[in-house]
Amino acid sequence: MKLLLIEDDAVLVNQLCDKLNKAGYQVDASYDGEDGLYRSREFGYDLAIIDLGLPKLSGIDIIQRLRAEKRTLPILILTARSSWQDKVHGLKAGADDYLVKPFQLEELLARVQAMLRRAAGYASSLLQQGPITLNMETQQIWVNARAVNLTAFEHKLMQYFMLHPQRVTSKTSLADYLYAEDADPDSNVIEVLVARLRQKLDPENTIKPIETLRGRGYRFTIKD
Amino acid sequence: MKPLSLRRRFFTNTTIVAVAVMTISMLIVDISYKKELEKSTREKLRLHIFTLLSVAQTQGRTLHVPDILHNPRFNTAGSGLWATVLDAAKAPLWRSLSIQQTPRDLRLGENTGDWRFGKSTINARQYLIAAYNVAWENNQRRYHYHFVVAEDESVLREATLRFRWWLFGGFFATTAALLLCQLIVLRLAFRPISHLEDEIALLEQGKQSTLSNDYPKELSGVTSNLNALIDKQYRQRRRYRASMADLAHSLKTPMAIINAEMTNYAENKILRDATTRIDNNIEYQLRRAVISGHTLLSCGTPVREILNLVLEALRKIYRDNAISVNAELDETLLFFGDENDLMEVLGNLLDNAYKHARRRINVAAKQCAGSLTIMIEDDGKGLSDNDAVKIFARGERLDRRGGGQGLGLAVVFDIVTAYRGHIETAASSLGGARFNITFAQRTQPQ
Repeated sequence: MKLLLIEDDAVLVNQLCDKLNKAGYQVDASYDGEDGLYRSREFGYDLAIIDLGLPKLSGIDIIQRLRAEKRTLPILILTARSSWQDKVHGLKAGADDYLVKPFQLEELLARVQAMLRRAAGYASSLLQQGPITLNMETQQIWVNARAVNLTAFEHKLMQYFMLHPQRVTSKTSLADYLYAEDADPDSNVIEVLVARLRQKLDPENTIKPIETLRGRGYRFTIKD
Repeated sequence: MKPLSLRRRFFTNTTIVAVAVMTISMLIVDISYKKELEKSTREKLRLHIFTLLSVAQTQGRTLHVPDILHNPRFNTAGSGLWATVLDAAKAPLWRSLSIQQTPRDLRLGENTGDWRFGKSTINARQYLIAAYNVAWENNQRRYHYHFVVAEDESVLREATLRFRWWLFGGFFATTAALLLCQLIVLRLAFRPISHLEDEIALLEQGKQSTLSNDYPKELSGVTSNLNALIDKQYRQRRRYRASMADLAHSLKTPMAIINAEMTNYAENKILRDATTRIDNNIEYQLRRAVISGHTLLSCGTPVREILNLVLEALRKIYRDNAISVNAELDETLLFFGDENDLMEVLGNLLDNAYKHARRRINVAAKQCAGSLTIMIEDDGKGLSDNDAVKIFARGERLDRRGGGQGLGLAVVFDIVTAYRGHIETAASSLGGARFNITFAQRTQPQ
């Protein structure tokens, strides 16, 4: 999951990148408004965390421009301004949620997760695709009411698939998502991971939830 | 007692002056007319006597006056005009045909050439009487005669009445026309003031932010200064809010860094509690600092508009919660205070309601007896009496769910107090908590 963090305080950016990476997100940071707008236009992010008081271009301007260009990525405002006027203004400009500094990291992570889930079309933290159910809060997964035990990487990959059904994702992208900067695109670690996931989810090979598209990548799809 | 409006004051005073001047003029004209009428009547009587003298002839010792005179009124009984001639011993010698007998006790002149004018009641009729004492020489002898002519005063009175009718009618019409013209002139002259009145009403309703600058020079000083004051207040508040936002950024970003670092020292409770206290104090003081508590000119803020903005934001924040909000308030309802203060009150109370509600929130607002009341209730688990007392103490938090709502309510309490209003908690009919806020404020402009 690729996130963009636009925040001018370098120390806070480092901290947040570190915590978000640990939580399994790949984070790009931007320190001013113009660069932030450029990045959010050029690179496809799953979510943007934007501060309001930014050098060069304010957070509200970035949000308004992105929304005017019909870009729908979820946006979380992370700001020191706590008045309702700022909240109303920010949300009206097109942001999806608003978090006031100082904040608890758990709160930030919960909001990010909820926004990503909503963006994938789920109204609650229980993700459902055919016989497969995933609880984002408790990190549990069931197939036809049978609990399945997954490793951390397997769960992360599964969550990605559940949040992006029908999407064709290359091995490189999946490696980027799972391993951040340390990814090794040549290794066959993704293939191994997908194979293990198929085995755990569908030992009888009846559902076939993960398709391999030769030369293009994988697609998570549940056939009726 | 409410002072009279300028327009009414001006109109009343000028009306009193105009009516007084017109009445005095009318009285003067009336008196002069009466005097002139009497004078001209005397002249007429004098002329009648001269006419009589011209037709009178002496025949020996006696004086002969023809029975039929040229003026037919002397020949007609009861015409109101009669004449008589008396000798020196005041014995009647002749009388006109218009009277049956010569009246007695006529006031006559003593000496030759004396004119006597007077009024006298004869047979219950008021007469104006002229008497002339004349001496006639015949055969070296002098004979004295009194020529008397009288005219009924009612003729005079009728003329006066007729004149007065025209006079009063004319003056009344003139006064009415004058007042009407004055009303029109007043309206034209006061047009800039009426315009100013309208613009101030629009300012109060929040439909206009400044006054226009096309006022005559007598008013332009006031209006331009008022505009400058509004502009200054607006800029000052904006600058103040901007510096508060900067201060918030410079204090809270390092606090966010400290908070994130604190996760590495989760076991150090003292440090954690201290930072929480600093957090709360910074947050509370910053939010308190931007409370305005008033607006210049009592500009009205439409409550419905602000409520819609806040609800739109809350629906986005709590989009996973299936909560329905029922709002009952008049579209035209106004809050006479700062827009941000109202947004803060509604935002904090509704945020609190959203956190606790299961399915429903009710909002109602109404204006009555010069105060604005706002009610917000939810169907959550409600407040205990103890909670209700503690809830508005600074930073008091009922629980840690959602975080910081105690602070929000403390800010609401400070805002309501700044407007000399009051807030009370009660049990909601929906089963949860209910907040009633009353802002004592002026009534809505018509």
